Amino acid sequence: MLATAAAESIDFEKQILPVLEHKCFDCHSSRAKSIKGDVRLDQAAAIRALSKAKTDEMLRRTALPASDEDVMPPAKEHSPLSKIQREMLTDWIVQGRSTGTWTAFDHAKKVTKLAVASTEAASVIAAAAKIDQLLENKLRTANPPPVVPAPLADDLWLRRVSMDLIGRGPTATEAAAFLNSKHPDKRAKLIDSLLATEGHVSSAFNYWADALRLRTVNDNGRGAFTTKNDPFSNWLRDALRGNKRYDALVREMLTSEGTEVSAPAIGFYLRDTGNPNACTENQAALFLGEQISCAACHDHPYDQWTRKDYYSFAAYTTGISDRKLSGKMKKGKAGASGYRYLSEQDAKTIEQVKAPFNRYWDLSRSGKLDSVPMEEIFKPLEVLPAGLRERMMKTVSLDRVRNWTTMISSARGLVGDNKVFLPTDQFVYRLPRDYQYADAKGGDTVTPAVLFGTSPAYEKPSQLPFVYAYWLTSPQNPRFALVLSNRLWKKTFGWPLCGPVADVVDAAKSPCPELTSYVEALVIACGYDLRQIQRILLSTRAYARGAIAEETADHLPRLFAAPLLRRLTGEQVWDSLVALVDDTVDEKLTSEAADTSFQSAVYNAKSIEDFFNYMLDRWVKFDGKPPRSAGIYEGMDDIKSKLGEINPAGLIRASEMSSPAPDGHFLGQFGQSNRLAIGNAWTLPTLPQALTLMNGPIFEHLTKSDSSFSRALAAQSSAEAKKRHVFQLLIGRQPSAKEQTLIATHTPEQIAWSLINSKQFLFLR
Amino acid sequence: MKTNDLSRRAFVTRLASTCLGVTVAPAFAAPAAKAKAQRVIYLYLQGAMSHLDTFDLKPDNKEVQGPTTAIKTSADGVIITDKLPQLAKHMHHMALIRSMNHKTAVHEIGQYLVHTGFKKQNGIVHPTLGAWNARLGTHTNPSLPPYIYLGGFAQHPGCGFLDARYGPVPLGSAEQGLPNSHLPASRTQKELTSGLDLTASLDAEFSSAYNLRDIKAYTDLYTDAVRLMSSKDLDAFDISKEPAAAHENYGNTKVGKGLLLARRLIERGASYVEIEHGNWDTHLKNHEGVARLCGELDPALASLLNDLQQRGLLDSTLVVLASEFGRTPVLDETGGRDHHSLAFTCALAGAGIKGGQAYGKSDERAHEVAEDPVSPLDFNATIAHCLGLPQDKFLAPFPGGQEFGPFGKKTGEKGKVISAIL
Repeated sequence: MLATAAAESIDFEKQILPVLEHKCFDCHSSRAKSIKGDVRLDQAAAIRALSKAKTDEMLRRTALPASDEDVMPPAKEHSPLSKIQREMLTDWIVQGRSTGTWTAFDHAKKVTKLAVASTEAASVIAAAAKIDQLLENKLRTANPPPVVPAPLADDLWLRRVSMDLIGRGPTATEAAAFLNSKHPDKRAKLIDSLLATEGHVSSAFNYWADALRLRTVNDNGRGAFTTKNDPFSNWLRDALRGNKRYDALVREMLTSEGTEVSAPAIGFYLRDTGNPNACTENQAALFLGEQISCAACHDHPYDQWTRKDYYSFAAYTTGISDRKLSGKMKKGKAGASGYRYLSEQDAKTIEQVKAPFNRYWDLSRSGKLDSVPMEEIFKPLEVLPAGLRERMMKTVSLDRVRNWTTMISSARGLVGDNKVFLPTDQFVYRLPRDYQYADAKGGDTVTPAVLFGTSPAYEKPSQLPFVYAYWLTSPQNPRFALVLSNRLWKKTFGWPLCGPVADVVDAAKSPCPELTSYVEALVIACGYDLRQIQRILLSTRAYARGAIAEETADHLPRLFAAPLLRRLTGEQVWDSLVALVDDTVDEKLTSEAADTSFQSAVYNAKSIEDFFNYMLDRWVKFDGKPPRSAGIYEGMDDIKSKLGEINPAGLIRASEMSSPAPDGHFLGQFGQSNRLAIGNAWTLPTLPQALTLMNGPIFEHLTKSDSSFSRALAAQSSAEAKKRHVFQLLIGRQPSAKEQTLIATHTPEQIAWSLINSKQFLFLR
Repeated sequence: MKTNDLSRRAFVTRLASTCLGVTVAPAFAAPAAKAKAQRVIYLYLQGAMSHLDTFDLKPDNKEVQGPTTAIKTSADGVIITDKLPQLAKHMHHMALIRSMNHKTAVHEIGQYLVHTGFKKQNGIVHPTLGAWNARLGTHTNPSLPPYIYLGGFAQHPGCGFLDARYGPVPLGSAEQGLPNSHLPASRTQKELTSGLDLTASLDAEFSSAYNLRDIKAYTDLYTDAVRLMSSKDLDAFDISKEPAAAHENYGNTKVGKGLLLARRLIERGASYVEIEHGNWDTHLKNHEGVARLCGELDPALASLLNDLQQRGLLDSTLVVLASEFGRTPVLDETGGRDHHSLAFTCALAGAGIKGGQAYGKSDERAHEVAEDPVSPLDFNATIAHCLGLPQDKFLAPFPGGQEFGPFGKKTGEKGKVISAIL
């Protein structure tokens, strides 16, 4: 395994120093009361000064078995070096123990957790000022001196804050109200009012759907839902709407049990059905900012995690089962009262009923309907009682047969598959059979242990998810608040406080430990109130400055005085355009709230006859095509045609479609996350984006006489006013004198087209 | 202490290093090897194809084989699964490489490694082979994008540190092709030009104030997009122009439609088309999953090889079948196979390839490589060789940075071309 590591030169600070720090420094650095064996490892000079005899002894003793009393590090205090760590250490010594540009380890850089009084967190102004002070103090000594852009004027600030909080540019009315206001606190007031809108829920939903990899499309047996009809999506939306505290939100996801109707937060677990390792690894990345995937199969080559660490952590997170995996997951309390199951027979019947309709559709699509007699196609329906069979044939109109089959599939998904059970007291977790290290054997029982801090105690295995969830969200876990603060900072400023959001460094190692620690403490003092934290970050002077031109800086340990220039997210581009065509689009967010009666009715069906009769009732009630909010049945074909052709009546915001949007949709073109990995949205330029903005149907809809855009223009008296209005709506500001000359001979529509294709439309300055 | 700092979201964050495209070709560049392949169809089996249940069967080892049964193929002595009966008849065109291996059985890392030939490195994103070909290769039809990609996109390394215009032009779906590639009826060519002129002048100040790689890339991509709109080959993107029989032969599946589209594009002179098929991540009920996926793959790939041969294009088109790794010989309690990268199979067919053979061997359990190991970089170097890409061209992600090329690093790791299959 190690050949590759050896073949390349070793990076001391990345590959060796962490090992020394975790395994050796207790005795061999200034951290020790007295330095043992005259071997000091926290200074480059001391490392160079080591004799060959000493380094030989290091290599000899780190290779001893754990049972040997001479083993280093001492078995009582530390786990042994992993094979890969030892081989790297050997290579490093053999290659001449280079320490590169590193000179000494800074022990003072230890994480000291700040505490911020909740009163300070409650004062947005005080907290924001403190952030600015810490940031500016640090930047004052920066070399080269930092770029400090001028504060944004109201118009561009409005565009930025609208994009960040409600996910779209301001409408004409919104812009006028804000820009004309003379109120001295108008910015603070606007932040408050935007945070309270349904548009904010929509935009926050997009953000968290990306973090949670929320998929409503054909995953693990979940049907082709729109987020409107998906219980987990609705749960998340409700939580965001009610500003549920983030720690409570996470605990609920981790400790819910039941069906999607009784406990919709189980959607978190259902996301990784059949792949408990993925669930474990994603939790580590999402809540702890650690990448541990490598350690699923072998000790992590660079990081401190061993394979044992991985499985010890997984012991807390793995006992979850769901009915779909009945073969594998018998550990769960399947059969506990209160849950309805679809019997094998019922499931078979449903498939048998669906099959002829599917066949009918296939035949009609390929134009071969004439080749098979109808009686033959629908013969399988004989599994149903005659009355029901007749009713079904009479009710379901075959020209909409796809609606019917999709409806059956979705309903079957609801009653058939999606249940989650937390571990029972019989749950035992074992190391994988191929465990390859000397400190344990494959199949050994694993003692649960968390990755950081003290592992929470439990009395019986059924408590595991609960003690884990409370540990995770408590101050005993040093990472939970840190990760959230970094995440929200990155979302607000475009650069992180302490490394990539799914792979953080501790505050002490971040570019400005004081600032990182302060924001972290603030998150705790705010009680994980996501709105309050954002209210503070958005009230800083730093946020109000113009954007800085810098390539993405995730890996650069750097601070900036302002947000970085960002391209709009796919959702922001789409939602902004949609709101220009129809500025009432946000009203639909509330007026078409989810109707879960379908789910409930299907879920409560007493028999297979009930099941089908209910769906037929529904079919009759809505003439086979219920309104969007009412039915779960809405299939991908419907969504595609609705959005592909951009029928203005059907224009909806990104958060209301399936997650992710169907293949080929505008949203995917512009970088909506495919929800396959945490934070997978992207903003890269591609050629199809240019084609879509130049030639796509959106411009036509924008300039139709009944669009909000056209109506807003029509309300302007002069041609000049119209042109100014186009600038305001598309790029959030008025044209300069020079630009007025440039556009003198163009019509407002021409200017609109040119601005939709401009960088100023796509980027947030 | 963190060292795997490169976020998995490489695609999003990879602009950490600006692309300056510094060419450092030596003064006396050796002529490129004579190319056999003028174009590539790269079929990527996303999720990790079980080598044991497709192209590297161990019928004598019941313990690892499970219920998969072997059939003979048109290549002497080469057996494959009976779930690929049509492809079996084309095995004389294909060279299987049964000794692929690397060390990382994590999807994102494996996908990156197989696409680029390199391990992820802090701060650098390497270009995929398709991007190298776009940058360094020859293109018979310059009016079509040099690199077209139909698949998931988000974590694809794409152009890496090269300019965005060498990156893949992503298509949303095969049916959709390249949407919006024609001027709408309501707009004339003249209006388009003057509209874009106005855009450019309104953006001028912005573009110079924010002199970033992505800002410049939008300028380039608009230029490319306008050029593409006037290509006479746009209908190559439209598979509805294919007769119903063709759709049927390819299987009317996502991968079938994808390969049909690839064939149309190749016929018009596109030089590199990458199609994704999957999900091959068969953790649960491996055999059922593989059988279903083979059922999709078999007619699609066999029809492609058939079509290329009939059209006389197989001698100049290289067909690649790749996956991030294989799957474990041991079945878990749900009948699933987990990730396994120590031995797996990829395949090449067509231009420049001596078909009808299996190169390299895995051990009797298909667990580790027994003979002739091939790394992802070796595999990519072999494709690059077939395409005639220059061995002595290297580019650095930033001035003074390490220099890379399709065959490896300028100083350091280089891929070995598998000459036995050429």
